[in-house]
Amino acid sequence: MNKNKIFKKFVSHELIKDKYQLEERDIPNNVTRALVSEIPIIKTIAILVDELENNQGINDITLYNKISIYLNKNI
Amino acid sequence: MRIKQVVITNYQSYYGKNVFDFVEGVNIIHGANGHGKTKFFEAIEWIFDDYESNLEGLISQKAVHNEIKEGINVQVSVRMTVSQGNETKTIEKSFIAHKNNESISISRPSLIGIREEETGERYQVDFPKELRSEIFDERIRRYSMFKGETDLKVFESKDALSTLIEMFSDATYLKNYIPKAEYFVGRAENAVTAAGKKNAREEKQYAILSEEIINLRREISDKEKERNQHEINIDKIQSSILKYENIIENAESYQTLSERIRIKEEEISKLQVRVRECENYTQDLFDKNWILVNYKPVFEEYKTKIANVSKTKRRLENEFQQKIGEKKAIENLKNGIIPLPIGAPTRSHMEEMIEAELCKVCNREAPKGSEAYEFMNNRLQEYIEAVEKDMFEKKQLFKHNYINSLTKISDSNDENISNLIKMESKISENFEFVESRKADINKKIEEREKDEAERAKVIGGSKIDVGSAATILRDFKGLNTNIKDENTSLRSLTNIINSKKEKLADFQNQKNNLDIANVAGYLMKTQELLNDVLTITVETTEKEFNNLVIDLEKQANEIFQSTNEGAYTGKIKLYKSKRGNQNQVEFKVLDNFNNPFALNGAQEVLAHTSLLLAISKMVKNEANESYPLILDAPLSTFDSNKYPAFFNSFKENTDQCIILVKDFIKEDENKKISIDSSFYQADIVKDKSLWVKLDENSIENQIETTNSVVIEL
Repeated sequence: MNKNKIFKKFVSHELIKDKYQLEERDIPNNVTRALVSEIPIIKTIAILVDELENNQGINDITLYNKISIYLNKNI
Repeated sequence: MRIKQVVITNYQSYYGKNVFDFVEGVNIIHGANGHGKTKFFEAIEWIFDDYESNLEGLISQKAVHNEIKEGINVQVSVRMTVSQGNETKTIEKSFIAHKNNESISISRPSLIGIREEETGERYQVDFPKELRSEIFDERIRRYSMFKGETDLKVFESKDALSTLIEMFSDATYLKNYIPKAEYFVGRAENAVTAAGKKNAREEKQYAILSEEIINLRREISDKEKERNQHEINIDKIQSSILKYENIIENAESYQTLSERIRIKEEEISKLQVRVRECENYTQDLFDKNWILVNYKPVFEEYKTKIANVSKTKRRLENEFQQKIGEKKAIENLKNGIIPLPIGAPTRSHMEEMIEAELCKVCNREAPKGSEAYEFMNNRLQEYIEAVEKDMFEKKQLFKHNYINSLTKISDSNDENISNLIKMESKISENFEFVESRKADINKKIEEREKDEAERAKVIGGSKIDVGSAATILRDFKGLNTNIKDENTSLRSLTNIINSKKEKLADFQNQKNNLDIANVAGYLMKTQELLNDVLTITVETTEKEFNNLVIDLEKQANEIFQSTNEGAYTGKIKLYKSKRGNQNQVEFKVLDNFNNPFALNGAQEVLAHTSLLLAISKMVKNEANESYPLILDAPLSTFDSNKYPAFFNSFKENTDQCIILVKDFIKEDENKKISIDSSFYQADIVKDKSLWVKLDENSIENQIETTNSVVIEL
């Protein structure tokens, strides 16, 4: 399954607009653009999708560390 | 994937090599019962079947008789060639059979796979089973090949539909993200817990809360597993109850139908006896009397002649007697006697007058010795003499009575002639009677066959054992008690889980409050954000599945409505539910008030077929590939007016289908079968039609002569 398609399905969830108050224009339509986003929820989902789709064998600890380091610094 | 060709060689009723070429669209294979239709279907199934049993039973008996017994090796094979993507792929399964002393030796079946690329390069693959799965995956094939109408009801199982939807929905793929997000949430919670700097009292309270939360989560998980088990039990019991309800209903139907069949058989038997009696009588008329029909003019001529002879005889006799009478009268006149007419007065009157000494003719006394008395006495003597003389000495013109005998023969022939005239109409009436009774018999046989088919359906559908009705009823009652107990347990467990969840939420709040006060804000925010990521992955996965169910339901209804144009048939409803983490989809047909809609046999098939076609479309959309649908004899409950809609729905909603039907075949009075012209009417859509039939050398009940051949129409 295409990673951009997966990303778009996740960011279409109502929480993104309702809770995080994001407008359509704030939501990138592909993973590459989302990875440079400054919005934590968008970038977190982008890291999750990008890492899992590019490297299916990645372990949970490595992936969590990457996300938590980003979040702890930027949130 | 498109099936281009199937070649069946020496397999079951197919002797020698038989080639079936198929096209895109609707392919129809006609075949009367027992002519090889189902064998074709089974041949395709055999290619994909790895469980080998009774291979000897698969060999064409004609091949056994004509070749193997003569020492010739025979190859039994089924080959299927398909186009898939830009490639042509062939898969062939075969074995060799040969004579070994008096028995047959069979080699292990082998599978060969050939791949032909777009460039024309053609090679045998190393792993034919992989090619076979590539061609027609087992999971897809399960929902693409259906034998009979009962098979079509595969989606009555809640798991079958959800498995299929999950196979093609993105939900299955997205589901992989959920455990990752769960792991992140767990790690974030741990980080928050570890980072909290609390005073001694809070530390103690925090430890208690954390322990309670862990315990409650474990307990909830255990209870949910327990509840899941009860839900599984309820499902199983419910399906058993449904089966039993069906059996109980079927047992009644079975008995009713059996009684109807018995009555029909009695009526048929009575009619047959009457026909036999009438035919025997007719035959008797032909055997013994029909020859006389040619003698009718002879009888008539004879009758006329005898009538003339008899008339002449009577005339001559009369003349003769008149002459004798005249002579006697003259003699009496000469003696001065005036003759009285014979019999006036009678002998008894004369004796009475003599005894009374009185003449009652002239009303005068005639005392004994008087002239009058003597006169009466003489007249009496004369009368007695005349009568006696007449009796003993009457002169006859004809000494013998041959003419009377001939007249009697003639009279009896009158009756014969009348019988002969009646015989023609009698025979004609008998023929009419026999024809009419035979028509009655055929009607009764048709009615009986209908009842028998109905009964077969009742038995076939439920594997009924009518003899054990009492056990069935007892088990049925037991199941009802069990389901009540299970439902009670389920309700109680749900209450416990809800109460534990409330408690958990409360503890979680208390812990969060402590965390907010003591933990660094960024850790709390990270935890919250990762919780949201978990919610997003779980709900997006659910939504994907739900969307597909909604779409499938919509598509199925569109097809269902189009195949039932002008008739209200209810609406297909797909109910999604969850058992544990497993999605389930229930298939129902409901009316406008959401009550189950009672469908007849054909509507039920159309409802299932509509869903099947909707799935076929879904597979095409989701997997970007379509697969052929192969259906054997799906039309047994159909009226012919439904055929166009049925075939059209396949034409419009699939890229390729192969439908095997026994319909449109007619048999003439010489038992010769052919395709009925009604099949060629314009509204029955077909892109290709084939006909499988036993060749002219096949003799009924002689399996060694059986040979199914395929004819392109």
